[in-house]
Amino acid sequence: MSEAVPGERGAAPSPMGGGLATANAPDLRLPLGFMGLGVVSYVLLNIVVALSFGRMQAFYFRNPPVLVALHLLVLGWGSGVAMGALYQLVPVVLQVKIFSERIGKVQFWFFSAGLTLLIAGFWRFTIPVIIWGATILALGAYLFIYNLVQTLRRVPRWNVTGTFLAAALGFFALTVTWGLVLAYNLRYAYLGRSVFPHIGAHLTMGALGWFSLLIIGVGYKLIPMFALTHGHKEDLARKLAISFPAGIGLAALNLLLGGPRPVTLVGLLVVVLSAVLFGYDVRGIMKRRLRRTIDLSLKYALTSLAFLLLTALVGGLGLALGLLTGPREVMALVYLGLMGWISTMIVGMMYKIVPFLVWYNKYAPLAGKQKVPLLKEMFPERVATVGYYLYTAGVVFTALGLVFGWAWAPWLAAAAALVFAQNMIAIFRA
Amino acid sequence: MIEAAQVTEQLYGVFDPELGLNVVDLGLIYDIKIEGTAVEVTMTLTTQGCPLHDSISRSVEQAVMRLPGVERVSVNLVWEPAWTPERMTAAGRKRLGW
Repeated sequence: MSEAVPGERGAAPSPMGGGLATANAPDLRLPLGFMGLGVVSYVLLNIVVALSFGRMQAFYFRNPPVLVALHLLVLGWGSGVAMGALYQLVPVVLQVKIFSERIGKVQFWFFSAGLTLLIAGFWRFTIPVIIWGATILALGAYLFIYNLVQTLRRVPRWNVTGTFLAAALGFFALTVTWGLVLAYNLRYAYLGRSVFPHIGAHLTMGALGWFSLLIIGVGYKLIPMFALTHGHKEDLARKLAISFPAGIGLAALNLLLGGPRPVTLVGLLVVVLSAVLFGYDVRGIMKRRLRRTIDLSLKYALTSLAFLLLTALVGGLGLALGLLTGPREVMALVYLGLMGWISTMIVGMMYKIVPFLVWYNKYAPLAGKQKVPLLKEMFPERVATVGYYLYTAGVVFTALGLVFGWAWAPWLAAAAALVFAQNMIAIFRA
Repeated sequence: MIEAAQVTEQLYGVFDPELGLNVVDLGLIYDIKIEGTAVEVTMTLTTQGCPLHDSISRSVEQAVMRLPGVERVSVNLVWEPAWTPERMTAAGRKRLGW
């Protein structure tokens, strides 16, 4: 398989039955709770966008439906699924137990309660509720990061995915912290006009630092695994593990310090170039894959990469040519990046992770003794394929619709979200 | 008297749940040793750090255990020699889209 881990070859044969992976895997309810939070948030956010479309085309600043949809997306959906997936996969893939499952359960409740308050606060724009929500949510997030950092410190064999993950966690901490800064600013107004670059830094660190680094790092492990690509070299990945965080850090830092705009653009340019190189590397992985057929998850993953490149190029050109002036254009670009790149990848990965989660707990003990389903037999494939086309159309038309005012477009995305939720329930029941 | 061919036949029914391919056609089974009523299967997996890794080796153990006349099974999971796609059978390759 991939040359990822020096020294892992020649490891002692694993004992049969109840091997390392079972011993390390956490209680099912921990990752499952987060997946549930993710799916519920995902459906809700799509409904909010569809119902409040008109208001979403206005200026984003302190605009309740924008804030609600955005934070349901990045906190409930994106971060929720990320946390659930990491709790399940880090032990199994990196062969190390989660530092504390107890902390995991506690932080789940803080995170969920904080998010609920935050969303309620945003919806009515009630500042004390926003601040309470942000504070409790931040506590939940910091506990998660602490838990993961302590876990990662015990990983016996480091690899490039670990580096991406560590950087992503760092940016998650920073993003949440800046969210707090912005929340308290509502009450104490210490930022003044520089609230806008702070919002920009918050978005950059979150979308690029937390999510993108996480997806890319995990992608380098998962894409060759699922595509069955053997022996892909990690050299480029190691370089990108430096260039990506460097570009993101430069852009974010410059925004926070109020430095000259070209410096931010240089940082973003480094990110854009790194994204293109990542796309090139994935192309290499796909070319040498042994699994010729592209299954549903891989379809979603490749689509998400296409959106990444599209966002990077449109964003890059837009910034360079000064086209991103109006609120509609900015919203469309943000939507393209968050729903096109990040959300699409999450959906694709969920179609792998959730069947695995359920299968591992329900069917692994029975495998070999009786007939057990394949992972892909746990959900209706044809329905899921229709869902994929609905989804992609939904993203494309809603992004365009934000610019041209097509209020019908987000209903496509909402329909896709319901198909997805239905499939997740089907898997759970399989 | 158990024979290696019987064991192999049984293992055609053990699947990698993600790939949807059985462990024999995948080329994961390296060796089958039989001593009386004890069977030892030496096998590998397509990738280290595969989340399903212990489930697959456990299914192999369970499946062989079900054969009449088998009283003891041990599964020896090795990483050398490393699995390569060349180890797949023609049927296996076809299933993966070749």
